[in-house]
Amino acid sequence: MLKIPFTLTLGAAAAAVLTVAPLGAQEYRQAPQLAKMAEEGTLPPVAERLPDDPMVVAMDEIGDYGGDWRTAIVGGLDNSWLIRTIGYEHLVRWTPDWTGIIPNVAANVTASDDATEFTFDLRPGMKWSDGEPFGVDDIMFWYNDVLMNPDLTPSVPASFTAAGEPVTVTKVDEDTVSFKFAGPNGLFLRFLASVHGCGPTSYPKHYFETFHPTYNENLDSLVKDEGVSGWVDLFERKGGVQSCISSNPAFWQATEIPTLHPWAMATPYGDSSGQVVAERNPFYWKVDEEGRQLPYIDRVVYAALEDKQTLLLQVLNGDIDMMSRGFNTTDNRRVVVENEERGNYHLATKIAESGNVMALALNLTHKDPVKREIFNNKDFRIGLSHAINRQEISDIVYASQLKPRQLAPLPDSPFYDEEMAQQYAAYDVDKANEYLDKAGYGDRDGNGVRLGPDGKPISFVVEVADVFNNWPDTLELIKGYFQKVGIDMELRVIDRSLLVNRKTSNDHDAAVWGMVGGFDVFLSPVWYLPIDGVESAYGIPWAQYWNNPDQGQEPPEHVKKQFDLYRQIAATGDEAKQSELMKEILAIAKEQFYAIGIASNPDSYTVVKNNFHNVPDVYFDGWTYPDPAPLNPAAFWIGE
Amino acid sequence: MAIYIFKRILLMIPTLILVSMIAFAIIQAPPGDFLTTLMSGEAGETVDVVQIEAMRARYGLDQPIWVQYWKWISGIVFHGDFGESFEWKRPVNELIWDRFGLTVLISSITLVFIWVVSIPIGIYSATNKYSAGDYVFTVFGFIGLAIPNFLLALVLMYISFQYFGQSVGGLFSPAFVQAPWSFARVGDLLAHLWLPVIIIGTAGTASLIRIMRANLLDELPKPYVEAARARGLSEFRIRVKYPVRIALNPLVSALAWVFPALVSGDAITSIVLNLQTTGPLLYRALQSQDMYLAGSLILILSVLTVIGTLLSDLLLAWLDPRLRAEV
Amino acid sequence: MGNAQNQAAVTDALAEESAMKAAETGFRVATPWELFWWKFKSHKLALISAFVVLFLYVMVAFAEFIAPVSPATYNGRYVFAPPQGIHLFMTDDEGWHFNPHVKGYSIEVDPKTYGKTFVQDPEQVFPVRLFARGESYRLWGLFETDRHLIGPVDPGAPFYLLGADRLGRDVFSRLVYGTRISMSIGLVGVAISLILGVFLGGVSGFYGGVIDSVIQRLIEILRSLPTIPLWMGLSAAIPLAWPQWQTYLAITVILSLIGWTALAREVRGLFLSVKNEDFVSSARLEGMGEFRITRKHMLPLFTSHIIATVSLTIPTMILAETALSFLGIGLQPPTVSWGVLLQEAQNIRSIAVAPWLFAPGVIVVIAVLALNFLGDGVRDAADPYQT
Repeated sequence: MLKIPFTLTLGAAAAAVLTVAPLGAQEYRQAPQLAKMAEEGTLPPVAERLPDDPMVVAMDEIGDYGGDWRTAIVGGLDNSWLIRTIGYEHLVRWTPDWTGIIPNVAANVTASDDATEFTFDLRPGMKWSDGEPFGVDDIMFWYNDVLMNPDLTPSVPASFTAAGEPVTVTKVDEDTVSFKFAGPNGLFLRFLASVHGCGPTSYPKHYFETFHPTYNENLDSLVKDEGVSGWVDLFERKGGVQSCISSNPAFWQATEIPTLHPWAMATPYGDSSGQVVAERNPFYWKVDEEGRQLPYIDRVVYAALEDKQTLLLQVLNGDIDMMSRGFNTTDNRRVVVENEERGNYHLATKIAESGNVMALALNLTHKDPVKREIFNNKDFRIGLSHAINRQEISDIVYASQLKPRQLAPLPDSPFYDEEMAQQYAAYDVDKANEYLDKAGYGDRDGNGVRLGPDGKPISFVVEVADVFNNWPDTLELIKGYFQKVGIDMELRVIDRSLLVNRKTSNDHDAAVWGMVGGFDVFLSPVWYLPIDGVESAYGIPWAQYWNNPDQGQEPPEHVKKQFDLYRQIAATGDEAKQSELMKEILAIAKEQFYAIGIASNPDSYTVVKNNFHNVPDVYFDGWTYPDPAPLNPAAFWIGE
Repeated sequence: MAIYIFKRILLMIPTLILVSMIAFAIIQAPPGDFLTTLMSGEAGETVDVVQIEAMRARYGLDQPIWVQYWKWISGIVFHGDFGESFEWKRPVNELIWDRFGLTVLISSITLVFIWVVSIPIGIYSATNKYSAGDYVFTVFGFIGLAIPNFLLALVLMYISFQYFGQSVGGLFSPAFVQAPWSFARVGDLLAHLWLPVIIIGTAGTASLIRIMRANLLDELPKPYVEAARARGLSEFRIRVKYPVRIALNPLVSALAWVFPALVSGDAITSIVLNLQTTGPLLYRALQSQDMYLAGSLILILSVLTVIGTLLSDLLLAWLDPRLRAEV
Repeated sequence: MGNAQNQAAVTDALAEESAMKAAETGFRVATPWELFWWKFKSHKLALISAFVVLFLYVMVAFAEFIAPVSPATYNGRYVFAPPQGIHLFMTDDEGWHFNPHVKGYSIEVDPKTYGKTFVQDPEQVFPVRLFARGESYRLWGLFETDRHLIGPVDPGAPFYLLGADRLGRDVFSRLVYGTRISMSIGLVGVAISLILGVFLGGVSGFYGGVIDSVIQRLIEILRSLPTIPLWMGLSAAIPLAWPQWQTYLAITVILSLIGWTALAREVRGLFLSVKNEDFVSSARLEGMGEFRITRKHMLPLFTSHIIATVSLTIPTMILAETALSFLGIGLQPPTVSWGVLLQEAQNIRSIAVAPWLFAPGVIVVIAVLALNFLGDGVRDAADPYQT
């Protein structure tokens, strides 16, 4: 089992990981087709294409060049698999085992002790995929003309602010850039390493300045030619977007945007051929330990599929080289394993980052005062929790793959608290009835349903998104359990965007969703304190208040205390202090028991063809850790 | 005739205006908008709320519905601009026409398939009513109608995977997807095309068989058939010369309705079979409430149907002058 | 088609006349319905279909009694248990004797796939009987009983005639309850279509002119809109707070939106073709009121056609319901319908691991076929010039 001590994060320590001495220029090697082009003179020699000190990627095996990585994207808005496979080149990155942060585009990172200033040394001579130089000016373009441009960024994201002030980025010299905050921003490097930290390294100035009013005086006529309503729309359509360029579909639909990624788009997303193809970036700036320029694989070929069942069939047929998305459910595990031999693949295990398979949140901020009173009654929630037969849910819905637990950090997390994970999780109908009686709802009507404080039977609706069958199935079982203790629960299966809509407008009685924050307690604590206006379904108006005290509802004291502690975490650079504060937040969450958890998430799996190398057998499943990107897909290779 | 055509075209205008309004209203019916869809990504993959509000203003989604409608429809009428797809961040115009081509191709081939199969069977069934052949053909035809398309598609796909080890989905083998057109590529296309054509065609075949059979049964007992028989014409000629021709009339009028039905059937089948037709695009646009894309697709499909109706009515009026009086 | 209908009308009018004459003279003259029945009988496929349809509606009425257990009853032990056959006889030391029973399963869990393998275990014998005791229920909310048509003698024994689904629920019982919802959606939906279609089609055909033109445009618009967005838009507009039966009704109404246009066109056509026929004109000349003419002469003439159309529209509705479920916008669990059952089954895992989950698909095919043949039979029988 991998351990994740979320402590080793700062640049100075992490930079030590990368003290592999730069190789001599004459030793660099490259893919055969690039060598040919270099020979013909259509491409500069490899030593000129690489930066002076290319990043050296150490892997289990030294690979061979060539081949297509066949994989797929399913449905619309599926940029995330593109990001996870080829779109993760930030200033810093997670180590493959998620134990820390290492420099990436930056060769070196220095953080001041009080976490107010971060200095990044870039790699001299590094180039975009079109051969143009990459440097501090590109980062300054992102800062001055995107982040600080009020049209493109109406409000600077919290991660780029501290003490209420946006970050100040300055060019120290040609290869050094500094980020200075008005106060400590202890989570800054974590943020940069996460999937959301792509901003600074994704804006090639020489490409985007054409679409920016500061640099292009004739922008109006261009806007008119393109038939868009304004320059912001044009900028967005050309691939730029405020928070993260790779989450903009337009970025993946263009082939002309220069990038630092190992593969650049050749056949864009949305092409009518039904394929998306990315080809090797000849200017990619990483090498293996023998000085061979990465990536090993020539092309990444994504089949653009509409339906997950087709994807599954392609996997079973061996048409997919490596993939861990869309088909890899517990339900499908059986057919996938049964076809291993036929499809000539094996499975790698993905350890679930998610802390719980399903979080059941009663709306503690319900508009109806009676329901709010009932839901806020902790004994009521405890009673319901005891009424749930978690083992049976595991046996029936998840092929006995789950371990009953509440919403809490996972055992391998430094924040693990056995008591928090197991409180009220035991199946005990007597105890459930006891608590529900204690809550004050001992009276029942003719059908055996408990009566609420208004003398009416207690009945509520749980809303669940139609993402997959497991949640509705689980809820059908839970409906039965609640019935046994005299609580009437209905379930409604609805479209996921409708669910979001109802949650954000605080219209739901109760809702279920997956739980994040099993490991990544710092960046995804939405189930421990209500700070996310979509995910923290037990107190959405509180989260709205957190984002903007003029909105939502003023939360009770204990929530305010949590908010205060979370602010303090961001305001300190001291890791030990951060952990202390986080533990305090978790203690309040444990005491409050905001929402009911069911069980640990079953581990997920990845299909890997037997000739597809350098994919570890066990790794983490995450989004802030956008697996498998931190595993260095550029160093995956295809054998015979 | 000219007056008739003129009248019909005039009648089309209010229809089209109403259709465009309904199309727009339909996509506005579900609560929320594209940005709520954007916010509902996978757990953790969500977007900043402040950004969302800014986008809402920029996309004009905070404006009243009629303002949005006018913006959209005036763009179409005056500039041929169908607006922009929020999801794809691209003009709708760039997204749909390729797919329309494929939709029309598949639908046309399917239509031909349906006719080729159903007309002879319909004639046979009508002339050999209640014979064993009639029963066999009708049962067979109706089974096609009775099996839901998505089920048929899934099962056929599984069979081709399990027993033929074929790569499934799409219209081309991976090797031919990007290849330039060649005989081999056409062959590859045909090798993949039969599956969707059969799946989409099954339902239509059954209903056309029935229409053909019923029409012919109405015509066969008429006196003019007897008269022809009395004149000593061969049975084959008797049937083909007049009754079959007249029985074909309703098939012409069915044309207008068959096309949208094919497109709808095509949507479900295309999702399962991964065909790059308008169906899956429309379905996804509706799901993500990508309103200009969805609205434009609905509008174009509806307009095609209205025009199809007009053409088939004109064709009928030309074939059968009695009908002209009815309008 | 118009001519055939005219002829049918004439025959009906004649028949009525001759019936009156017969009453005077004492002859026994077949009524139109008798004629109809004689003809219908000769269409064997239609006759069989009529019985199938009847059988399905019996299932609708007596679902609680026919199904061994409720559709929600689950048992984690029997997840994806394959169907058990009913064995009528048993052999032991004394030879054969009649003892209907099912065999139990021995279960193994595969350590790698976590899937269960079921093998029928000849050692485990669970006798079954008719009118077995099981879960108690109230039939039509009236009679409380715990008798089921068929079931194991020991209520705890595994009894999966069509296998079990992913939660260990009995597929056969779910199918029976699904029949109730799906077949009745067809009926209710057709009833709504019928009312709309006959009324608007009738008005359109009878009055003509501006009214006709408006209604025709309305139909044209509705039919020119692709169905999928229409369904998605409307079903998304159903309020979530509605209880299940209301959602069910709303979905039915949505489905009938496509149905009524076809009916209205047909009725209109019939009115147009008949309203200037001689027998109508003569009735008019005799001073009959318009309403009376419609009721007495025109509607009876349409009845057989309407029955035919109805029985042809029900299958369209059934199929539409399954398509809605496929798109994820139809009825949702815990409501059980054929569409919901198929939606749960339509994935590769089910085909590979539990093909018996496609039983609802088979019954959809049977129902659609039966209703179609029934409709054809009625239509043919209503046409007196055919043999």
